[in-house]
Amino acid sequence: MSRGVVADTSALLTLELVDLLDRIAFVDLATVGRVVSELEDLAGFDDEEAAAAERVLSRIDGGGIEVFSIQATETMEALVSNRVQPAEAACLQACRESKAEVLVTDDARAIAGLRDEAMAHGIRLRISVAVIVESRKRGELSTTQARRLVDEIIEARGWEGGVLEVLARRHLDR
Amino acid sequence: MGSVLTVRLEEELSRRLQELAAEKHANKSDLVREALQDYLDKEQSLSEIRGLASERFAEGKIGFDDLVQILGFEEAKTVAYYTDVAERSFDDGL
Repeated sequence: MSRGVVADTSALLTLELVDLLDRIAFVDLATVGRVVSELEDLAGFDDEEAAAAERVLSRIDGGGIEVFSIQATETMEALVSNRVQPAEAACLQACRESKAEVLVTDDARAIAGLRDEAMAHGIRLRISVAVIVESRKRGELSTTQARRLVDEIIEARGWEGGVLEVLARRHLDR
Repeated sequence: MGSVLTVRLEEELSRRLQELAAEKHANKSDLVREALQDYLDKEQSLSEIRGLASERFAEGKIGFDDLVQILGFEEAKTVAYYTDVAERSFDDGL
């Protein structure tokens, strides 16, 4: 079953860095215009993240990722803080307007800032690892492959020694 | 020769920067550079502590109250919420 998933900049970059955006055909993936602006800013640097941002922009141009144009609302503005950037607030608003069930973000501060509002509207917050777990549930990845991909995310993002490693050990090292 | 970084600022932040620069008779670039330096120094010092505390919390070796003692309430809440969302992602997928 295809279902609506909105992803922010952090999640799109993570998924691109480990070539997971090709494996996500089972969802209707979307983002918002403000994320496109963030990706364009990031693409101006000269590193792996910039190259990944460039590739995500190409996917968007190719129609692989839908882009919602979200008008700022009072509710949305109220969410913006030192934790939540306008792009992330717009992603949540996009979920509401498009009836998408899931918002994927790897930004811990955004998660903290968006959690209550997401719960109030029945929107599930997930990190990008959820795509790997979903693929594994569907039989498209073995546990070993899933574990390897989580390790690749940890390495690509420099998240060694953190929460992801602990949870990967608990859930995938069986 | 350093590198040039282009950063998009929201209107409100840009206005505050402009006002402070005027008040201090300072260059906006100098203020941004100074603020970034201070922020990075602080974050790098806290990063190791935060990482270790988060790991112990995710392992269940310390509780939320301990996390608050180490990181302060707001940072502890961020770690706890992230851990909860990550746990759900590992449990349920999308």
